[in-house]
Amino acid sequence: MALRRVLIANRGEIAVRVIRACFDEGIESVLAVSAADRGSLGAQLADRVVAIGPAAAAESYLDVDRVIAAAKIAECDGLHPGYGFLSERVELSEACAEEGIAFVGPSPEAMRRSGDKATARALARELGVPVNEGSDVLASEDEARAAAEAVGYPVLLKAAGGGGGRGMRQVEGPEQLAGAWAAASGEAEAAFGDGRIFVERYVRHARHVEVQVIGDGRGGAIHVGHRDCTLQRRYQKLIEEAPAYGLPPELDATLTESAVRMIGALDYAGAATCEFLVDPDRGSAGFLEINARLQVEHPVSEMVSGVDIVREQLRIASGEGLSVTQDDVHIRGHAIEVRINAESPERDFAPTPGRVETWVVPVGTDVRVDTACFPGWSVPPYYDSLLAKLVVGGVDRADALERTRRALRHLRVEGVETTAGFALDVLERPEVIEGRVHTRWVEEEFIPAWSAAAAQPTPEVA
Amino acid sequence: MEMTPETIKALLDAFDRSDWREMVVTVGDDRLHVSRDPIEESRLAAANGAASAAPAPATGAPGGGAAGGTTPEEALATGRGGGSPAVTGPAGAPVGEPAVPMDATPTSVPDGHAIESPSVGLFWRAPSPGAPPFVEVGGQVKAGETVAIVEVMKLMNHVPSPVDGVVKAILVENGEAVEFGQPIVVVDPEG
Repeated sequence: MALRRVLIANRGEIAVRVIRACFDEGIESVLAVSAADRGSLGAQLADRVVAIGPAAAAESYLDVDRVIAAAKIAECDGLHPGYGFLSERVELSEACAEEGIAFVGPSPEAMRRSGDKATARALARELGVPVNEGSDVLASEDEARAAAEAVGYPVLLKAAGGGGGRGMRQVEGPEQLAGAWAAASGEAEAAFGDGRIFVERYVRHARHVEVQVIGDGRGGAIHVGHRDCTLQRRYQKLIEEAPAYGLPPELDATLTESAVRMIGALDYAGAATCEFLVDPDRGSAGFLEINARLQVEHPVSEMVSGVDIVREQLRIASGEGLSVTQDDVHIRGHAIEVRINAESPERDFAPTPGRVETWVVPVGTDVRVDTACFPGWSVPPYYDSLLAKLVVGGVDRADALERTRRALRHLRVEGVETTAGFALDVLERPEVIEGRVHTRWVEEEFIPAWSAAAAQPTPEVA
Repeated sequence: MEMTPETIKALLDAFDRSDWREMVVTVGDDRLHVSRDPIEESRLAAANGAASAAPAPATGAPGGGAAGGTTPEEALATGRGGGSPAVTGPAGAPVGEPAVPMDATPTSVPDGHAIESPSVGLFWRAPSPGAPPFVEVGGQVKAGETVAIVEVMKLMNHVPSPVDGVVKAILVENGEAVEFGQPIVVVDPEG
């Protein structure tokens, strides 16, 4: 049954991205909006708009009942959750199934099994996928202490039911364990209603590498290559690229094959990402977790593969199946995505909501800007600060880096502060150009030096 | 024959003198759709860039006007009440000047406090089918008293009047879909 009309339960650039895919698939798009988003770009582009609630996300984009009510009122036969908000909430996938609405994503069962870090790690081990050393879920601080001794300090305490760095603590030695245990489990309980914690080896100079997978829901899956998302600040990705550069060939194959095996074993439908921690010192990799949704950084994979991941999601939800096989997927060139956030890097990345007076984006072949921004749009203070994703392709990594820097210099934004200049400074550093970075590099090495340079008084010109 | 400002004016005059609720006239690719009731305003609001504070009412049940298959050809919207018309051509571009300017404030809403829907959902005038309605036009209400229910997936949200007063209008039919922020009942605190 081909989909006729899809409700988009999201906002911002990803709402626009899904509207675009609906257009390409000949599907009508209905956008659920909060009161703050009535004038958004997505609201102007969608075939229809349904106002579901006030600005507060808890009473709009995070309210399963209102989202389902909107889908029913507008007679939608499909629902795309985007990323964030309700995208990984099993209740939404379940409610869609009950109402006969095709959920553009995995079944409740596949979402449950892939979303829980403890069960996903168990599945990985079962399938012979390398897993970062660690423990199962721990019942007590004493068990955590024993597990940490076995793995060897430093370790990470991690929430089984969470993500985004919440419920996570780095522990350098036994004397820090008690405090970290209390903090991590308390935070996980508060944030996810799930205080389960496990221990993982902490890799000091790790790279974050992930594999983009698309499952057909019937045990079949393909991968669309890998990405490197090592440039992060406080577990929030800043700059992503595809493919992940400089992996030894055998590791490259291990990662993509492992990811396909896991997603296939879950009978997973739609887009998923398998995250791995790569230890460049040892030349090894360990599975971290599955993200059971479309990801922010999916465009870099689209640019190097030519596969439209969101269209494939819609095709799978409609029962049409994948339009490509693994043999059709060829990774060519290199692509880089820079997240342009409405934040002030000079003021510790404080959000800068407000009216965008000037908005001019760079143009060029293989320069793609995914955004919901336009001149005159007021960035509301209620949601995340992502303003745009600048995605630039090149024949190789050096070319892509050079073209990305060039594109950033052509971005003109007035009215709100953004992270564009900061990103340009990051992309000019030799460590980035030579690939000598790790997941804490931005915070521990780049930002301290950058802030000190910014604090220097500009020399007076006589 | 084609839709000229003169023919539109003649049709509107005829509509004005009639007791019809709604009128649709199709001539070639042009279509004139006039209604005294709120219909499918969301499409027009979206096409206009939509920063309008006036909430767009949801379309009701299937078969109600352009509910569902809203294509640009069908996306002829009207203002609410008063029969303010809009005419669009095949591409949705305005054809000719509307005889009555589009007004963000619906002219049919009488003075008073317009109570807005707290959510997307279904509008119910009574606590259960067959039960007497919470309020009738002309009746008295007290602040805090329920004037309607907005149902969100079986969850019944009682909508209270924020003021003492007299019910001046009930703007939505029983069982129709409403959106967040849509005016549903008007209460005049003056009485």
